[in-house]
Amino acid sequence: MKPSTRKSTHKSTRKSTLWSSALLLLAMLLLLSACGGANQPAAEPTNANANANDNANQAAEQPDDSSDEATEASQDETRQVAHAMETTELTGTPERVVVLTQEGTEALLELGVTPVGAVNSGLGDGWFPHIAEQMAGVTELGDESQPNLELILSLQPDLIIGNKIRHEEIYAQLKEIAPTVLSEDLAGKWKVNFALYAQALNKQAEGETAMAAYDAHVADAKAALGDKTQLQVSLVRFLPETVRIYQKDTFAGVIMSDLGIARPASQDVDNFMEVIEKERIEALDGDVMFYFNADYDEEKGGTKNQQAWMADPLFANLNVGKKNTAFQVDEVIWNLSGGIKSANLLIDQLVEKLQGIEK
Amino acid sequence: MREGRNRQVVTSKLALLLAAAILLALLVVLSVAFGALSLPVTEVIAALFGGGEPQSRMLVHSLRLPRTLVALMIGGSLGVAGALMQGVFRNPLASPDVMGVGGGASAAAVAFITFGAGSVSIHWLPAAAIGGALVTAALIYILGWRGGSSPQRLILIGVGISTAMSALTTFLLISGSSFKASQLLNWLTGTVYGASRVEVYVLLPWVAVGLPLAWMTARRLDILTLGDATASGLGEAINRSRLLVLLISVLLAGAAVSLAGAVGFIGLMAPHIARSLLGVRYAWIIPMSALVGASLMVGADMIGRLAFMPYDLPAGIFTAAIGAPFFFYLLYRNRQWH
Repeated sequence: MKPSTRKSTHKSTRKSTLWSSALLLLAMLLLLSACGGANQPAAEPTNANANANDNANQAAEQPDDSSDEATEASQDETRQVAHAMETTELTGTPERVVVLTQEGTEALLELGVTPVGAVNSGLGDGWFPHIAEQMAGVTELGDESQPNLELILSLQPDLIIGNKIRHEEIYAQLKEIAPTVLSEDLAGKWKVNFALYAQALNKQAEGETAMAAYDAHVADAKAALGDKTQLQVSLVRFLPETVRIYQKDTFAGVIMSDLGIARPASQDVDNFMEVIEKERIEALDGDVMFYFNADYDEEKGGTKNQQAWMADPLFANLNVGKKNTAFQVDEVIWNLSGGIKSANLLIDQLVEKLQGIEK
Repeated sequence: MREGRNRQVVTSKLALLLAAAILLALLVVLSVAFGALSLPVTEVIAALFGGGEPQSRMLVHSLRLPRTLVALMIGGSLGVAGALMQGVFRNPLASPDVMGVGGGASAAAVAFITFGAGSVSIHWLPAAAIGGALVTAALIYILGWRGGSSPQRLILIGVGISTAMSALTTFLLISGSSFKASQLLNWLTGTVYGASRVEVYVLLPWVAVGLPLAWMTARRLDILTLGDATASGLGEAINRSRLLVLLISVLLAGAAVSLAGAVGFIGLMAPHIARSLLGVRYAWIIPMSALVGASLMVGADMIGRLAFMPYDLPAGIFTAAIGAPFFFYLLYRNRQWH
């Protein structure tokens, strides 16, 4: 018998052709699936309105102390709400609102709306102290970055409010549950978000009133401070392992800009924050320092770090060390909650402290 | 006589495979039935077939079923990818991460979010992740090529590059906005949160093509296990085979990681469990690794969803919780007294 060399080469050529075509197929699938994934928003059904009406009718059946069958039927005008993802058409005044950001929660409460579900305050159990009373009975939905979709569904909301940075990924699924409005940014943009939420909730009038009140508050505070606004205010956060200076694109930073308050050079920057090592401790300095401690648990690592830094002789050399103008403030109000209620409280606390300082 | 015994062995192995499949099916049913929102099982079954309340239908078809199916496919892909890697490297501690899949995908994902997420839709994240995985694997392979691809060299270079990718990931996380960083932490741990029907359709072709392809390499893997000298003596084109198997493994693991993030340890554990149950032939190990890996992932996701309500914890936490001790156990078992 002839040695089967020709046969084996024929066989291996066929086999390698099979492999090549299989791998080519796999490569094409890669391309297709990537494109398929990218086209996802368009593929979802856009029957947001039908959903809203269904949910609204179902919500009317369920026991809820803030809803009323009469108000359900009124105000049926539609409005187009342009938000970070697209323009959603909303009808009437939402009764059962789910809010997926902490600053959104404050906005709702300020506008007189109690949500049916909200993401947790992120600090231990329960809600932030300054909203705890108003949030009694509200269903907790988990973390802001990963809210529990099933719980949201179970609440049968007729409006969901969220943020693009956190919830872009689940936007399509949220839309299926109820019309969803996402704000663009988090950081210092609470005013923009507030206006958007007011529009979504059909409370533009109340929203404008609240903002006007806030602006008046700012103007009064500015007048009350007078030339104390020229005091350079430093904003510092002590965490268990790091120390940060908070610059202009932060919640407190934006408010201080509104009030025309001066910042030290290291913080007069359009950024979020900077981590500071002890070598650069002068970056913490100013005429006044307000600091908040990030204490995540009973360990109180943030406070321990803060006490260590302030006991350091380097700190005593700073202006704020010498003049003793470093004051601790509530992290919830100054940093974490980020809404209009905190903003108003912050202004009051700021004015009170600064007025006590001699220039 | 021998034929009879062979048939007996094959039957018992098939029985084990069937048992694993049944276990997986059970886990899938439990995963669809239970969740934050409790529904009676009859309601769940009705919803599965198009009946029941609209809310139940939405719950099952939009939320739970896609999530469970995605977890299943990801676990299966990672399990098989791990089996292939362990065969190619002849090393029981090998896993897809050795070829930088986890590290490269993570670095690419973080870079994508840090630089692009505002302007580019987040739905391109999987494409970026899988690109990162492929580039990293290619880099490792090219750097490890010295007239041939030696498993030991590939492992060493792979560990080095994975570490570099990890450093790059951390650097990008720190230099970006802290909001984006916190958003990524869940992805980096490995999670199927937010899996929808779309992800099922995206992953399905990968799995449907990739798993059979992997199974077809079983014979080559058996031969490669015998060592380079013996394998080439048997007529195996070792470099080409290695490249092929690695490619399939990286594609499978890359697809999984791109959707779920850097889920750890499934690629390590599943082949080991498969091997302890079914012996060393890859024709058996590959399907068993798929079943075991899928069960692990579905199980881990269930724990994450059910054990800490209302929080929805990433499945990666639990695969690591089981996987890390498992890894130490393997190290201990494979120690050699010199």
